[in-house]
Amino acid sequence: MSRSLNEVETIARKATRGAGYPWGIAEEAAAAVRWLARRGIDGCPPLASLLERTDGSKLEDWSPDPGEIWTAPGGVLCPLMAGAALSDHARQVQQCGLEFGRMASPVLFLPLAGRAAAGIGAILQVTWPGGSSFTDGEGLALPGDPGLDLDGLLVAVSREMPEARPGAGRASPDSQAWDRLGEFACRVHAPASEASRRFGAGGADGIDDD
Amino acid sequence: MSGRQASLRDPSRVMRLARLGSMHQSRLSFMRILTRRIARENWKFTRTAFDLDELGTGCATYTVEGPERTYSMVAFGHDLPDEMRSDRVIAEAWDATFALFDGVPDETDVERLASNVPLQEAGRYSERELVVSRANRSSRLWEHVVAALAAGAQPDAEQLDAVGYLMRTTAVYGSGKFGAVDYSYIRNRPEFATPFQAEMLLVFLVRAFVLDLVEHVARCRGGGQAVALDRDTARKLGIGNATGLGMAPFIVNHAGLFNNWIAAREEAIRRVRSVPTATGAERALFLDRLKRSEVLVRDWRSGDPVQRAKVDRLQLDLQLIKARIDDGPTGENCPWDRLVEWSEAALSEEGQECLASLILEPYGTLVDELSEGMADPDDGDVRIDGSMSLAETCVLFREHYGWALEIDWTAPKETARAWYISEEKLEPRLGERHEEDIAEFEQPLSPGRDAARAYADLELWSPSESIAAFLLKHPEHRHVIRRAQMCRSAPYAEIHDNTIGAAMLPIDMMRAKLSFFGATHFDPKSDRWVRIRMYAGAPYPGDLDPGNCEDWVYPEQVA
Repeated sequence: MSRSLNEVETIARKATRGAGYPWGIAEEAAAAVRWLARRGIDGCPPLASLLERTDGSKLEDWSPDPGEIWTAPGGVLCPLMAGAALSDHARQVQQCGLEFGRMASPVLFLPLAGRAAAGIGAILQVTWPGGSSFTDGEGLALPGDPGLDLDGLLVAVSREMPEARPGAGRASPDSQAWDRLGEFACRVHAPASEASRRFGAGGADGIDDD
Repeated sequence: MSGRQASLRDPSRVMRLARLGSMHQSRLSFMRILTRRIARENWKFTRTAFDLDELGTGCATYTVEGPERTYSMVAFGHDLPDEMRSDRVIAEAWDATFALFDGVPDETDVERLASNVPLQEAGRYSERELVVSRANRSSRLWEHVVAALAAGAQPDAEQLDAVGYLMRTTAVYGSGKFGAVDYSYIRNRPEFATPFQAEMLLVFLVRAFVLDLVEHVARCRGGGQAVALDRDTARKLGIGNATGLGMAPFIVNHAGLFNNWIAAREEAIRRVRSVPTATGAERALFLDRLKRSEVLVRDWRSGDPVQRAKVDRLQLDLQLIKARIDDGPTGENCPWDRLVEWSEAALSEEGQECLASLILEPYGTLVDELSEGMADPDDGDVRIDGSMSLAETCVLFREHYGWALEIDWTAPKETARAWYISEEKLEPRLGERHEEDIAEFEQPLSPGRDAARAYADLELWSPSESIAAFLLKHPEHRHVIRRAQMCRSAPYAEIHDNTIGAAMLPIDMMRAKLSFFGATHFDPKSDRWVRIRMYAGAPYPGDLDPGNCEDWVYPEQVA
């Protein structure tokens, strides 16, 4: 089904929050999935897969520890946490490359690399075993699919920007992934309770009397 | 002659809830920006189909031709039993439903719309649909007007004035909702460069449809005996709107956008306050709008005791402004600046904001161009600058959230409320945090409390550290750090008040947004929903011209 960018952005924000991430990271996820959709990539399957993996675990286990190689205490990095860290440390990349350890759903990392690139006005190349991508913040060159797990990746400033993917104005998310995100998104909704009814929620104060 | 440049009003003064809840329409309201453009560019309106039966059931199409593009409103009339008529966002049937279509729909498009638009939220829309909306009849007025016109008589003026509209919209959805086109896709069209122009265009067309419909139903009933609604009477009628809690979070969720609205109006006020001398013509125009505002305010009814008191005081304020002008010297020495300065001590906030909007009226050439900066090119997506030091961040917090750092957030009354979305109806609600189990579902709509929490943690760190390092350990503060950094270029982004306190009135937030739409006659029905009028006094589509596109908000004075 064709969906608006607003719809994919909204479900990504709610689902990420529903899966237990803080709102600020949910905002990064929403912007990331929208950014990918604008470049013809469906970010819903990798996001659904990521949220299923991180669900119920401690966020710290998936968050990067700075070092020679930025790795996660739990062994696998969350691309949203790692990407947010990359975007925040963008100036460091300007001086020397940043290396990240094993990462889940790495395609979600690329929009945040795009944020970093835009922030420092540079082209960033993200390289992994067997492939790489380029972004200047606006364009994305991604010849292959980085898959659902990568053993590690390197972010460095590049001088060249290969031809970027064509833009897209709509999203066509995978319907299964959409439904899985929908289930996470539902968790941000409060169930009705006796107390809430008592305090007037859903009450009759909007009935037409004119 | 003075070359004095007035200052912008400080956000700590402007962004208080009580003041936001006292704002009025101005030259920079979205309805007026639209009618100005329609008149200037001489848009052509055509009713291309009107196929409705005697009950008002069927379909109609109205087409609008601008200089470059054509848009169409497809309207569906329904025969809704009285007991199903509800203004709640959770309703499932309405008297009429609408879509604004990009271009001219063919038969297939109309068929597709016919099977989706009447379902509203339950339907699916495509990139050809810009806006989707629905409206209900005023049950008080509709039957009265149909019966009168069918019998060859005009409806009772007092009843018309009391309600002010024949139909009210209960939702107007744009910006990619339910699959419709994203704003980012149409924002480069000059006619949509200012926010909410597509939504305002649809409502403008709905008003024309409603007039056509009421006369059609009256003609079906009365046959040859039926008469048309007197055109002056028709012009006074607006489209009503019932707005509930759903709108209040918008200005917090879209802080960058809201900043641009407020900043445009504040810059307009500053420019006019900097005008060294007012000409006779400028003074005369101001006085004309001032006197006509009295008529507008006299006609502003509300059953809400707080709003009624505010309206009563506004009537007095308008008299005080008039007396001040009559007594004062000529238009020398920055007269508007002196008037605004005087108002800050002499008038209520309702009066001060009314005056601030009114002084813009004579100065279209100075202020109208500011409408071009009211959209948000970033769509709220702001990159955090991780290189900022914590020392700088703390300065930022003290500057923009100083008011929040002084609140004792451990006091239950300061966190009495929580904003959440209900599973039951997927609608935004405001609950009692300490009485209901809703805290874990809370939406991020309390920047003040969040800023105070972040600030407490920031103070535990070395000031020379970077925000990038801080956020690695404190991802929970990422949301409010982004907001704080946004304030550097968007000083009016944040409401400088507690949005979850026991004393907070959601209608203040709604009023601020609705005033930028250009709404009038705010009539709170509780502390969480409000009725308004849109386009009351406006010419109908074919009658708009450069001579009447600007002052229609202000009723002509009765001789």
